[in-house]
Amino acid sequence: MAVTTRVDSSQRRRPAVKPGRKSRVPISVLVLGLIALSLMLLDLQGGVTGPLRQAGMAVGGPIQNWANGALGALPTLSEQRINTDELQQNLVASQQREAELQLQLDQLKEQLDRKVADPAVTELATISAPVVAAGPLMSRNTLTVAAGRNDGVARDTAVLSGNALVGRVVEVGPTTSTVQLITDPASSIAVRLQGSRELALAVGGADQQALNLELFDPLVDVELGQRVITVGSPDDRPFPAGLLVGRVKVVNGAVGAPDRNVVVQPEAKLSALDEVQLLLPDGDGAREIRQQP
Amino acid sequence: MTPKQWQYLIMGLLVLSAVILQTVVAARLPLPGPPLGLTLVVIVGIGLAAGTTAGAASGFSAGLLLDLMPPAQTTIGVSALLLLVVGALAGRITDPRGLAPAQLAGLTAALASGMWLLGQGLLWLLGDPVAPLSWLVWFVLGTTILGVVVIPAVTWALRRMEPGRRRRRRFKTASAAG
Repeated sequence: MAVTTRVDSSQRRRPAVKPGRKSRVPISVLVLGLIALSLMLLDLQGGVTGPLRQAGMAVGGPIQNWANGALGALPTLSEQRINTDELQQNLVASQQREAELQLQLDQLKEQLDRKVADPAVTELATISAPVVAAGPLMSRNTLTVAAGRNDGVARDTAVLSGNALVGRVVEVGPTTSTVQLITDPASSIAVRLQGSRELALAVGGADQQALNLELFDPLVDVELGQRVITVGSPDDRPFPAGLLVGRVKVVNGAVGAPDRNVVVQPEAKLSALDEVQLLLPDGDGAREIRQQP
Repeated sequence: MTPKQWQYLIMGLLVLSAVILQTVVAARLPLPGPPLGLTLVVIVGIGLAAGTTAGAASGFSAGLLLDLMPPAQTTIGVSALLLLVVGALAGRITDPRGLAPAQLAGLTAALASGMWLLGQGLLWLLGDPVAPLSWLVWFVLGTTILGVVVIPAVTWALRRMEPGRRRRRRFKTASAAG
């Protein structure tokens, strides 16, 4: 004990240490290391650290939201920003197209009404929320989005980008929530192949841009480009049926081979998300998001 | 405020801004591999300028903030332990003033790869998902380039706020000689 005290006091007098002469670790470093280790053990045990995370959400979320707004002008973050002229031209073009499409849409809606017993269930209401943070240190499989309990978000709310599935809410704070991406290694979604209606699991991996497809029936034919959609969960939590997950990108190995490997490319560009939609029953703008199986 | 207190204030501000920028900017850049190690290079800078204890303490607090702030879903304490080790190791470098850019790059690369491997090992032990090996290359590459720019800025900011720096430098030379 006396030895360690001596090391500590001399440490304070001489901050720059010559490694060869003094190889002992300062006691402050040891204490902090022990605190970090005990926190890890506490968190593994679970329960105790929940309020800590909630406090981090309540304080950190708004700060990130503010920082994201303040740094919005950074060129790196505005990848998807389009200049106004281009936007104007696009608007005129789309208005013309809209008129054409409206006609087709009316016809298709009639067909759909006949196909689906309850047409209202294909429409889902969403709210939009900006993505304010990601990461943080060794992976980027989670996002902070600027919508929380006050906006009606709850755990297991599905998160979309346009029509494509992004992930689900795993932690909710007052004004922000944490989203787990579908590519997170801990994420695994029940899906079916559009067309053949075959069931599979879409499991996240280390790769940010791909999902592994684990088919329930190994003898199923899979085509490149085939769409993969959600099967749906009871009460639509976390995912309602028919959400677009992605398309088959790679099929390795023969049908039925044990090393057959089917890779799905997520439809949403998960590494460059600026804005996401959260599926909320009281959100506005009910629109057709679901795909037909 | 005494010079020492000023230095602590600067360190606190550096840690806070590093943590916020890590989540809001560094982790969202459209680059391959994991997020850039912005926090890591700031902690290395603090360690180089202010010594082992200061480096370790700022590394610990930065890591703890990263563990508790929103998008983090890993076990609490992992980042704190990793950055604590990085700060403590950087603080042990004897003569930070004389580091050439190449040496700085080497030091950052060594600390970045060390932290990455230690971190992945910890995640593996804790049963959390582990990243592919190719991410190590991306992480070390990006972080080293960032470090050559950011570390000198951090050490400069901390030394500027150290009014007793002349006296301290002489003292340090004397102690090194003796």
